[in-house]
Amino acid sequence: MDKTMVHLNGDIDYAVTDVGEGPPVLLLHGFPDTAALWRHQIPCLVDAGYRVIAPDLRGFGDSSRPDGVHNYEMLKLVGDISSLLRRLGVARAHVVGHDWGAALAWVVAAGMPSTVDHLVCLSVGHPLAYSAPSLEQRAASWYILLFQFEGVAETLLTRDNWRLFREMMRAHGLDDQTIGAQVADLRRPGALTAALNWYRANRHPRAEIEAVARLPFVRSPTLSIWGSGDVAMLEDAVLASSAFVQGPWRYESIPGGGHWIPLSRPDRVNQLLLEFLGSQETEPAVRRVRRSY
Amino acid sequence: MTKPLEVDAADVDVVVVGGGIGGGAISAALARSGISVEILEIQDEYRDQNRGEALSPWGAGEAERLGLGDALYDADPAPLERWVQWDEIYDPSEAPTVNLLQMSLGARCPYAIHHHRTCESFVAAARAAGATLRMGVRQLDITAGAHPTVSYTCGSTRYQRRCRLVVGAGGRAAPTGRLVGLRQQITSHHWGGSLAVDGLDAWPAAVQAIGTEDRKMFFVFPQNGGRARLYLNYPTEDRRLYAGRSGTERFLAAFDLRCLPPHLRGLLLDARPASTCMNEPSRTSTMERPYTDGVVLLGDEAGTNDTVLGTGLANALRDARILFELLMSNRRWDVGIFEPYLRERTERMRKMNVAAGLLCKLSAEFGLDVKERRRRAWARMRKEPNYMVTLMIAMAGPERVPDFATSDFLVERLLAGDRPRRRAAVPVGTR
Repeated sequence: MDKTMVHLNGDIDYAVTDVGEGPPVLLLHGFPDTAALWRHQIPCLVDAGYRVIAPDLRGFGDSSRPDGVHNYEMLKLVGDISSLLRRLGVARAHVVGHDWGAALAWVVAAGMPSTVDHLVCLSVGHPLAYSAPSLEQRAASWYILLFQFEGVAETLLTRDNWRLFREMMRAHGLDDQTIGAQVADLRRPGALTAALNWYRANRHPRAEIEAVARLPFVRSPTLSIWGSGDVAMLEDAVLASSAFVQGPWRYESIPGGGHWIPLSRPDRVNQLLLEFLGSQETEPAVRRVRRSY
Repeated sequence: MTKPLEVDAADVDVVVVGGGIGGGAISAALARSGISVEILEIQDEYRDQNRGEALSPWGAGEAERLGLGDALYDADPAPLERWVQWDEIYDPSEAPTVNLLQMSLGARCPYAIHHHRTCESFVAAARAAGATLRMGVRQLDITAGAHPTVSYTCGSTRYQRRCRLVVGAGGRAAPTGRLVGLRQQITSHHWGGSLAVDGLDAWPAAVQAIGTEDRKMFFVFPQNGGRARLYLNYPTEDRRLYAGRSGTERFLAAFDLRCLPPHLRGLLLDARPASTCMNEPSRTSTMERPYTDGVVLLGDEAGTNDTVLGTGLANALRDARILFELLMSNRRWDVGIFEPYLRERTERMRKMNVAAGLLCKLSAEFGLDVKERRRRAWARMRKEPNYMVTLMIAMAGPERVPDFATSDFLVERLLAGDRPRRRAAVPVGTR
């Protein structure tokens, strides 16, 4: 996939795949992926007449990997998306996210409603749906606690040829080729730490104690897709997301899809995207007059 | 009359004799730290040879500590995760399985590496960091001292080097030690042979076999693509059996083992030799002090445990890591800085020799008595897992096991016969 480098506010560079012509669709990958996650979706969306924008998010792939946990706080990532869209001349886009990309997509849709046309979140529910997790969800999220330990998590994941990392990815049904590509990316100096910093900045246990930031309701038409058998993200939080969506909300479950549905069930995901994107009436984009300085 | 050689004289920080696993590893680490390194390798090219290719889990850990994890794993080593203990003491269907990840105490496994590819990977890392590699090196000469010098012939050039330190990593042939008067004492317990074979695609993945039957201790280490390394240990007096022209045939025939399940036995019968069959004595070598002025030895050059333990590569990598750390933390490289190396190595070898001795007595000696002794010992280890700590030394590393792992008491308990039955009480007054 060809990537162009886009320079963003805050001295961050994003590697972006930007193909196709038509209404823009922003694809946001999660951990531990890159825009390559969307390899089955991109040609389909381009053929269907969309402009597809698939960045490597901060800390992943060929994009910048700034040092320091604080550089991966959600607000900074939202800022990246805002800056990226402006640089690419995109005022409004459909947004599709998977895993951490979905968490980010939820916050972007809540905080920047005029920017998000239709919203599709794969595998992960609205952040507030996880503010009181069930015991089962806590157990499924064991790795998030492990990831908090700086240095220790890196060692445990990478020793013995990334044994634990590979085991975790295989438990999600990923094949060796995909895992090999993930390892090749994460092997680069600082790459694994940057990826883990997403968890350290946003899912530290203290986040459960501190006041949860009140997010506005999501106004965009939203489609939540969840693959059954997902061992990390359980269904109830995805279902509970409807409470935080003001606009039309639709839920689709993909039997046996597991966590990595863009790769495990590409045809079904593509079908749902083509069906859903642009299908609902939305509020017209609010035009704000910007003063130029 | 031969043409006179050109002369190339220069200074370099470190000359490493031997571009093997240990030599390659320390060269890469030093070069990446800005030290100028010249690696001297006797082979013209790295060729697949029969040699010990088992890398203990703690050895892989040392490579990772040296920053050579990627280089190690890029050379595609085959993980060995389970040891199915097929052995004449068990029915084939009842052979227990040892989980090697647990035995390593660190959720790591041992690897069957491709020795020559791993050497290439390490020296490539060294060269990428600025080290020079010379292959096909001949007529090596070394003068130890406060300003050591090394000279050698490569191609049509005679090289002369002045350096701060010579690292002797020349392996079993011990070229460096010989040249500077550092001698080893060598003992041997048995003989052993090795053979690479193809056609073992159906061998269970990541499963190693180590067991004893009749007068042979056998090893099967699967690699990738149906390739496997087969090893035998046998009594010294049997060495002629495996020598000579039909040696390879008889070596393979020795793997017609009753203790294996029939399908695996058949698999080995159909295996195709993929190398020559190498036989040599097992070897424990000790050295009082593996260094002198301006020269320090590592790996096999510095002393080995019995080959049966399979820790030669791990030893070399630990040596490389310890020496690298010592060189980085001392500005002047005089002979005194290696004292911690001597102390650590002496203690390490002592512990490992206890483990090697136990393994030899259990599995590399032959006869009905030994068979019973082995059966009893494993029954004891299964009943009381603490007894396993001695053998865990090879997997977990000598510093990870409690002190009693090398106690005479424990080893004696494992090797002892059954307790004698209590005699019936003798009535007083009777003699």
